[in-house]
Amino acid sequence: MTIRHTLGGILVSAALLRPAAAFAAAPVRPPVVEYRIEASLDPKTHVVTGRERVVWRNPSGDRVPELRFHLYLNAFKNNRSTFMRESGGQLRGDRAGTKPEDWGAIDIISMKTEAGMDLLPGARKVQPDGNDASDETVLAVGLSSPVAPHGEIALEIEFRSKLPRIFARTGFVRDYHLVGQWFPKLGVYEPAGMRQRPSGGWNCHAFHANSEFYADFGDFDVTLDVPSSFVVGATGRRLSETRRGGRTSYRYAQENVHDFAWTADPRFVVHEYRFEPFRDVPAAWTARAADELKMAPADLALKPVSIRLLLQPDHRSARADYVDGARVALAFYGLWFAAYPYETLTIVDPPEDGRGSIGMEYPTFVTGGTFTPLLHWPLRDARITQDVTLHEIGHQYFYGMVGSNEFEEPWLDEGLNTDAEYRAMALAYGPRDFIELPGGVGLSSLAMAHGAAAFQKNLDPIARSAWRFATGDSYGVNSYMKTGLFMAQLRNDLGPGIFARAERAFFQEWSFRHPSSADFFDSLERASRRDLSTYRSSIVFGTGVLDWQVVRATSERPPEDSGIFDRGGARSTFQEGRPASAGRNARRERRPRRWDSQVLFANTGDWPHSAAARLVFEDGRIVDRVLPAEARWVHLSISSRSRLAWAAVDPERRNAWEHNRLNDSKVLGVGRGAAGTRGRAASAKYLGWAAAMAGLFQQLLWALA
Amino acid sequence: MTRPRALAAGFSALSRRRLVLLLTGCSLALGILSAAPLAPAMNDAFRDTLAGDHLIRNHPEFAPVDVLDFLREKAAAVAGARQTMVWAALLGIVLQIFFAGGIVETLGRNVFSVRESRAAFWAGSRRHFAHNLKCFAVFALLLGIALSVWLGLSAALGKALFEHAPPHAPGRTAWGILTLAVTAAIFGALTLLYDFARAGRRTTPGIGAIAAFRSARRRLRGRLMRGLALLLFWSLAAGAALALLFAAAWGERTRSGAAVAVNLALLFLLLAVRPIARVAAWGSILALFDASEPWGAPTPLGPRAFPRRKESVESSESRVRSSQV
Repeated sequence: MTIRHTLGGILVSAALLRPAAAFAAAPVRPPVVEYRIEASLDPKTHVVTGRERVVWRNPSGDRVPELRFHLYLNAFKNNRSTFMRESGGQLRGDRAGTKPEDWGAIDIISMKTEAGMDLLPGARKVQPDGNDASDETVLAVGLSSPVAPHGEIALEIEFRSKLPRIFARTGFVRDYHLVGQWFPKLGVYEPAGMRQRPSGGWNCHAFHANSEFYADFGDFDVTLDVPSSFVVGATGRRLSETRRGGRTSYRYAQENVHDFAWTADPRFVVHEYRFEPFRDVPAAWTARAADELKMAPADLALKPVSIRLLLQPDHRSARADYVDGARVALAFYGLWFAAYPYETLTIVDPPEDGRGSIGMEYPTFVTGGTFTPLLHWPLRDARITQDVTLHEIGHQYFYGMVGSNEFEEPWLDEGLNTDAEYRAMALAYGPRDFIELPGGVGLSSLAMAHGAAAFQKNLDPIARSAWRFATGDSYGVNSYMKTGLFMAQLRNDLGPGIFARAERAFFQEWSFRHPSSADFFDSLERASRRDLSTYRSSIVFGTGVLDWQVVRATSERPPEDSGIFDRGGARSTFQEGRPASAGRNARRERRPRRWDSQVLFANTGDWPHSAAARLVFEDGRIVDRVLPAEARWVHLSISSRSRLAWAAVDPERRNAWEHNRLNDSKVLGVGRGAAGTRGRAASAKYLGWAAAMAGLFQQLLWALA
Repeated sequence: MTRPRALAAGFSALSRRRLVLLLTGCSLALGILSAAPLAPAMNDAFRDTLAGDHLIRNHPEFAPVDVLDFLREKAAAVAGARQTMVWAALLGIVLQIFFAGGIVETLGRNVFSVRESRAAFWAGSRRHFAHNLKCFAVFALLLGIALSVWLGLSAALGKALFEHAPPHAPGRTAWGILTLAVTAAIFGALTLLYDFARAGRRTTPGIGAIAAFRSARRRLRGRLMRGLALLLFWSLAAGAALALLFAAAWGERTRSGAAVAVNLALLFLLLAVRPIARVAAWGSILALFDASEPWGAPTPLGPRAFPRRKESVESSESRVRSSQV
């Protein structure tokens, strides 16, 4: 069945067909899928040959007449695949190889049922997502007898996977092999009601440039045979190691995961680190999490994790950065969401000529990424290594455990994980968490997200299928940064406690399940007891913009009385404060001199949302107001003893969704209240810097003359 | 001429304060010209807003956001400044070519008065401008050819030798360092050749560009390494001064008006570094050039230094040749 849901259809279905019962948090046992794989790597030809026994248990009450498999290495088979068409052979600054040996593919050599029935004649490549007729990344296998409701089927498959030259997540370069998307993997059979589906069916998308994961949770038992000189890392626990001749077999096993990846390289330098909660989790973090979650610190106890770091020899000095990123991730996600449930975590440091495999997540197995300049001054505190490591380990939670559909709703895993990553980075490294350069200059992750989001054209909503965004950049900004900003906005509006409890409730409810966007909002609304419909419609499913600004601010002495006034039962005529009858030399009526301050605030965006306003007077007095969400503009008029020094909207910057910060304030005075601001000096100073930098640039060219 | 003498000549060239100021002033003027399109945008964004305050206080969370918003909201002004900067840089190159004539004419020569020196400088600048433009064209051509050949060769050889080597393998790193060193040496050698060709007018007022390069090549024989060492010395000195001044200006975070003035003064000094180093390097190179002069020390500035255009001038080169005959 081809999935052609529109987002609107999903929402309508959500209202009609969502099961009433809440899901349990524990993994489904027995699992939907079980894989037992034996694979052998030939490092000269970069070919993996394997045998796979897969058991699939029908989770629905439907009779299922066919199975659907991901054959994702075929994305690299030729330049006609959906992946290659969408990416144009380039992804995240990396370019696909074009030599004959650079292509990759997966061939099914045989596929039989346990009874020995050959299924290959009934198998065909299908294109569920569009018109790329030559795409070969999804295989539909017809069954002679359908799988009964809640029944199971076991298949024996032989396959041959030729790895591509490293590009976009998988492949080889020299002797380094990052083996992902390498075996025939079943898609997800979604029963009616799951993710608001009106009827049951397979959800098995083609491999797209910007998305690659949606599979069922299951158990893996994988034996890998490689030359003995190779160091191997893989998903799960290593159960055994058997040496035979010049080759070694490693057996790995892992339960409750939805994928299996591995790596092999003779150059890896292995570092083992044991994450010990008593040592690696700061007490202040535990106290903060306990306070926000309203839980006892003892209930937040985490478990030790064996971390295996596979480093490139020239990146030895990045060891501390990787370990730091892993410690922060396991502590933060463990405290705020749930303890990391697995025993092991493997972190791979890809070589710099294999950057296509940088920053990837697989269950209990991630790739980080570092570059030599980051290991030296002045970029030593550009925490990109820590950030990437943290982000990828964070995916063990949002995608690894909360198994959202990355194809159809990438924001649910990339975005929610990005928000958690920003929070963890800020907690661990302070306000300049992302980059800190010498001289006290730096950038936070959230500031970077604001910049990236604001620089992009506002083309798409956050929630959209990965391949339906207007551009690759629009996918990236919406799925990562804008979701991070949206979640920061939500956190500021709900308060950190309510937000943390609501998000944890969502996480726990949907662990080892497949939630949708609607499930996310339902869960959060239930837990927070707030109506989040404006966020849902305007931000996540809309392209709402928030741009409060100070349009105009003035502060002047009110004019003296002029005209006819009836005061105290008598009528008097005044001319600029003097009684008209008394002539020009008469004294002005003595009244306290005051200032009339007028400030016009406006939200020129299209998302109605409230904002705080602050007026600061030269005598230091502060007036705070709330600008209501429904107002397009608000005019404040205040009479005061002192002149208005400055007026600002959202001075604490709690509206993370705010588009433009430059128009948020007006500074009027130069007295005591305004003395706190030095905008004029800033303008002169940085204009001087601009001139000097331009001069230096010219001098650089003068070397020629 | 020994190396310490050439070095000393570089230091003594720094006594030409007006020349240093002229070059720095040009740099500053072109810098201000480049930044001018930013002025209204900066005033609008930072002058009477809290954003400017965040910036000068280096607010850890707000200032970066304000800068990013400035770059987006005032993108047209930033683009205008970038465009102006490129044109100003080209104008700067032309000015440098112009001033080189005056430098060659006056630097390292005895002068009778400041006034005379100034007159000689501007006269030399005007007179040798066309010659220096031609020399620049020859230099640019030679540099383009030499670097293209070398870098192309290096890339091809590097690929052949290290295609299967991992990044940062010792051989690959050594190859990278060698490539950089040879690139710098080529640039240095051609710069010396170029400077000697321009200095050719010091002794041979009527010499053409091609002849000047040929003459320069002959004069550099046996002096190339000394010349490269001098260039390296002044480059390193300038680099160190630039780094120190930049660090001081970058790290200066006080917010008072006086502190801003000090910061701007540091930026002015930063702009002066390169002109100072260039004048010093010119002094050293001209001393090296003068030492290659067959007749020994350079003649002082005087009537000989200002031949009329139609006057027949016998070059020292031709004199050397005729004496050999």
